[in-house]
Amino acid sequence: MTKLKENSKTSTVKYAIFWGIISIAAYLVLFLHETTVTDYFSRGGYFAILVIATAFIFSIVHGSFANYLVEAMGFKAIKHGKGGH
Amino acid sequence: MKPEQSKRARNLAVMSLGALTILAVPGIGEAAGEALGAADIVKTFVELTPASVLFLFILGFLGGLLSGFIGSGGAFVLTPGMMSLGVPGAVAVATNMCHKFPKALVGAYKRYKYGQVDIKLGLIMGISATIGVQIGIKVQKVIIEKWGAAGSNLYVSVVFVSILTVLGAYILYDAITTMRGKSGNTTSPLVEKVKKIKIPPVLTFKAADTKVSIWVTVPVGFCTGMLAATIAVGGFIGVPGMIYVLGVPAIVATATELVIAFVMGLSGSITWAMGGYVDIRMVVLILAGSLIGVQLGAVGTTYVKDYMIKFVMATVMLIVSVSRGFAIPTYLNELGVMHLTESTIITCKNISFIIMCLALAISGVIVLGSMLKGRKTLLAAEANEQGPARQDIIPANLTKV
Repeated sequence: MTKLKENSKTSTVKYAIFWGIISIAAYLVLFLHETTVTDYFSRGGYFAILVIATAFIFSIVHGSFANYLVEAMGFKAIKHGKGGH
Repeated sequence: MKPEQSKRARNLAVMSLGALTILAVPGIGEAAGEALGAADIVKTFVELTPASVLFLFILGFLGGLLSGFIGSGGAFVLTPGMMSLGVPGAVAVATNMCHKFPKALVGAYKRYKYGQVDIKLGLIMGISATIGVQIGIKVQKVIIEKWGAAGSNLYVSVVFVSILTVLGAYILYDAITTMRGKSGNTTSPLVEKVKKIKIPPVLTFKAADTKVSIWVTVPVGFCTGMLAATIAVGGFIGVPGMIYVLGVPAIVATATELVIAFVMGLSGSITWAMGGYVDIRMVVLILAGSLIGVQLGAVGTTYVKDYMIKFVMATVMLIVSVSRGFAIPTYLNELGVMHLTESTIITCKNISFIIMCLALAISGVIVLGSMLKGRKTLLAAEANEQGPARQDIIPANLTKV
């Protein structure tokens, strides 16, 4: 039981590192091409797709990292049984 | 009414709502509650310094924490926060709107996993709110035409202060009563009356554990949108509306509000992005903090009782309404009703912004405090798992997800 828990904790940290690297890479790509990105993204019209798609991509990539980070920090949800709330 | 007829009526109602939403989408970007003057509609992107990056990260984190916990909030401080960095009004509003929907999406998904989200209720409320926003904008436009930007700002502030003070005080009273009574949820007399309205189609909301006629649900969503267009924080209306009108438990109402925020945020972002006003750099920087904060806040809801969520919400609403109150003299001055010196106006604006930041910080402390307490409980329970369960540490009705 304890070993299983240890394994789960280790994999949570591993996932956090994995998604963390992808997240940092995404931020680097955006900020290293800051001028080009701002130029295209502020053109409006059909370029709005780029803005919305980027927001979605960051929500998945950085959201996954944040999820594992929060879990790795020991903040896990508590399920409430009947009469919990 | 036969079940088949009822189903047809329900489908017709949902389709009509969908069609109205499509009609309502153009122009929804104006739904930020900020009466933007011609000087604000400037497409300029500021240079980001390490200090401003850190500022956006912290604001995003605290805003996300609050959103994850009470379903909304945080956005009220982001627009003025960005404007304090020199960002033009339109870009600040657009950027704020665009960070809102990914944050709401992540928060809603997290809380859905805990069984707290009622998707059906969220979508119906979200769609009707989108339509309500359009009416809110129309009202704003009439006021701007008649009394100018200062008149509109005064109207926004008065509505903001009166509604938030009344609702905040009521929620605080409710939270304290529940806390003292040590009971679960409280229902308002209005909920009982609303439940008696059986005009079809009557919808069953499983997660919210309630049955309400669509003719009640849609107006609540509509009012949420209308006020979101006016005071920029629809959640402060939507959540109490769900709790005290539809009879939804606070934990489900705050989680469902994230679905509404997603629907409204996405449609608003599309419009602003089509105008090219979104500063994607600032969006991702705010998201860096807010996606962590929103998930922490979501986990936090599982550590506390319903009244605690109400308590945090009421605290934020009351502090923010005080903050907005400090903006009223400035608009009265602009309308010529009062005469203030330039330094007094600046002081009022600064006090208003500082109080808003204070609201965010106080709520952050309360939520994080609850989180740390819950984490301690979890760790203690884990340590005791080998031995006999200690009932004084973790209640019998709690288990880890």
